[in-house]
Amino acid sequence: MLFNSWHFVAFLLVVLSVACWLPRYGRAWKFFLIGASCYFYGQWSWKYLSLIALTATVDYLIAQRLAASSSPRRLITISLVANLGVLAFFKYANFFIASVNGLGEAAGAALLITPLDIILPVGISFYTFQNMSYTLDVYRGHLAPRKSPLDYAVFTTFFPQLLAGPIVRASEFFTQLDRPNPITLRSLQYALVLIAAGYVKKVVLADNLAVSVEQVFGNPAAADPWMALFAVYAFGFQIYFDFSGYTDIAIGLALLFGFQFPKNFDYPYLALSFQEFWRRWHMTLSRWLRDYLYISLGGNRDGLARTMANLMTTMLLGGLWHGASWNFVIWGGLHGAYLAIERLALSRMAWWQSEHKLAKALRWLVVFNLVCFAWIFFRAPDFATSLIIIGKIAAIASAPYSAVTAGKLPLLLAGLMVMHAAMGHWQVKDRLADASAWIFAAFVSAMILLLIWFTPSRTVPFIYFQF
Amino acid sequence: MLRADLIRFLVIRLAIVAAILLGLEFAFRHGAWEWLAKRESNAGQTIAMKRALLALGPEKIDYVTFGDSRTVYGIDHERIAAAARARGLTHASVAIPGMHWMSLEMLVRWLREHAPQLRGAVISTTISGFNYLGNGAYELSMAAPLAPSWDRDWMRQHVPFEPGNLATYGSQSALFLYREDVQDLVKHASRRLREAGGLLKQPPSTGTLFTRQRVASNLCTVPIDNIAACAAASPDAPVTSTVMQCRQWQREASQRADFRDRSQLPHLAEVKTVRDRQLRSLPYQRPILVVLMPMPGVWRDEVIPQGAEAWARSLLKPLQDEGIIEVHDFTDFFRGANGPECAAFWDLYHQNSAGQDRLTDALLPILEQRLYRTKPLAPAGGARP
Repeated sequence: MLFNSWHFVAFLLVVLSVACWLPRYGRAWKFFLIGASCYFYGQWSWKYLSLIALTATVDYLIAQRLAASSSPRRLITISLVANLGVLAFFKYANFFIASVNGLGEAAGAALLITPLDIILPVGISFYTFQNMSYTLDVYRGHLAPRKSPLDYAVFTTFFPQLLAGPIVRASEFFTQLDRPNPITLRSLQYALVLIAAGYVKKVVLADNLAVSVEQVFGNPAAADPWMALFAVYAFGFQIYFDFSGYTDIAIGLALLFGFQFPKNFDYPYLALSFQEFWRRWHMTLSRWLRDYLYISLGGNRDGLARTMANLMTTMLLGGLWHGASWNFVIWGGLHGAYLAIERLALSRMAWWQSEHKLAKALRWLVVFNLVCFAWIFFRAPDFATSLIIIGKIAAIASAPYSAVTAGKLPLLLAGLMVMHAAMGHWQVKDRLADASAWIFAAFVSAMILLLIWFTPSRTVPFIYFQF
Repeated sequence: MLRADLIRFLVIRLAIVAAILLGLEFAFRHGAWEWLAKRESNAGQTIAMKRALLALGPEKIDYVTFGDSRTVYGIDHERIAAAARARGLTHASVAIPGMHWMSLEMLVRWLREHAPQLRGAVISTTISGFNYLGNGAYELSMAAPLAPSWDRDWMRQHVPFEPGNLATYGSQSALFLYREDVQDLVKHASRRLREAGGLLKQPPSTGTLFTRQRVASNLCTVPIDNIAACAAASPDAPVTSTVMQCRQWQREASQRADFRDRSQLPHLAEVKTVRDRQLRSLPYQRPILVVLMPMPGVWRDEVIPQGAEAWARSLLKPLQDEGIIEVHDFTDFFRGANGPECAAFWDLYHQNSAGQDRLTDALLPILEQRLYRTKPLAPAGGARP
């Protein structure tokens, strides 16, 4: 069930209507929410719902025993093996097989291993990381194990963030379950602003940009060099609007149920350094990788070389988390390299630290363009396609610019960048949460009109659902 | 439980949103968008036609020709208008590219209100015009500018609402009807606003009602005798679209429908009911001339559903027998003695200037005899040139 479907709208209206008449956070409310979330996920696959149940049960039981156990390390290892094993099997088994076969082929051997007939369970990367954060927090003593299996089931299945995050920590969730946030007039208005803006970001902006992006990435050999360049920037915005649109909707929906989820995006294309980019992009994943991987590896405590190695390992695994493809590994590797170079060299240069406007503009230009360059590997279906796109862009100096071919795309991209900057500078969504009824209604009406007039005929699934 | 203040807060805001959207819906249904419609869009073409008719004065028209782009290119409306003028009559072409039976019905209704004196009409169609009830959701925005504001039943009859198909939402809300125009306005804002300003200042041209569209090129460089040969042809620049069309048809031909056993096709009974009603309700004194336009043989023989020709004739025959319509069948006009077909078309749907001239030569005497003669006529059977 996609957020951008009538089925979901009808589902949400029913769930909200029933949920608001049940005593909030009571047993009936929790049972109802678990049932609704299972129905939501079951619309994609009832079979794989059992996978969520299985991993959640394992994590729940292990967490219960962790505190009293004489060998907590063994228990947490079981939890990690169970979670990562399921993730590895469903997400990476065929990637591993293809890589082995590729090596075999290079060595002259015929097909070595037959690929498995596996369908990737939607949202598996997200709910696995979320479950792992729970057992790891209990193991580290940051969180007491949750006694109520009902509460744990609400945390694991809660439908607004089940498929693509934000990756919420168990402590954040359970605190709110124990001390419910009051649903205020402001939070209600903010939720509706987020949901309306989220739909427009996804359906109007991302899905329309997808057309220009697909034209180039679908047939890169035939692409005009300038269009290849614009398609890369267009994808940068497409993925941002797609994912942050989803996140806005998810956070807005959670607010309607009384949960305040952490921010997942903070105008990432305004970042003036790569470190800042990762503090603004997919913030809950960055936080997860930092807390449970980077710091576990030693973080920056063991000297520069080790720090660099940890940084690179974290980013490579972060890339691989996105998908089973070497392109994602390269994407992660590039970001690892950016961060490492920034830490090693750039941060020692005066202009990289300067507060002068020109220096800041230059830093923004470097960061934005290198982030977009890395998107080539993220979007391209394979390494060869990435190279074709890069080759096209490299040939741009000798390619005549055709305003007819480019159309309004460059103007649109510039407009989107300005809008991104303006929204970030003025924190428009926050202001709208405090706006008068008339301004709020004008905003929501404008969003609905944009959806009516600019929704493309073809429904495009959320990009991050495939992870 | 939701608190009362939250409910009140929500209701006030949602009521304002609803009021804004309903206000816009009301404005759109009453033509507020018309001055900004793109001339070439589905809605824009109808609006231009409506404005031209109003500028001319609909009460001055005696005869009209309904039809789609095949009619626009296939008939010399200038010569027809001149022939009618010579008899002191006004014969206007109200053919619009894309027009099918839904927009035709709405145009008939509009003309009944604005031109009740109309004596007769030519309905130019093809034998494939009776295959399905509607021709696609695009026609909603063509017909809407002619329709009464709140009457949407005719839309739902021709274009069933499908929640998964955004194009059909126009039958529910006028805001959806102008999507194409709004998108174009955003893309070409300055040009469109300039044009809109000009449109408001200048009276619309009435010339479109009496002009002809001429295209000189033909298809004789493409083998159009059968789809396979045409699809296999080299798509060189002048014939690219034709070869691509053949390739598209070749794909469609593999799933060609079969109308020979109609008991398996309940939709055809509905088509018959609606077409029958549409043709019987035409409010003109003279028999309506239904002109079945020429089709390239390859289209008729290999693409349209098998038995579609017999189906179309079976649908028209009772009306013809009752004298309600006269059928003039030019389907095979460019075959045999009138061939070769390739010399008469500029693409697989539309006739070129030569094809237009030859069809008009054949059509004019019929119009002279059946429409422009002043003496009342006895109902006549169909003619097959």
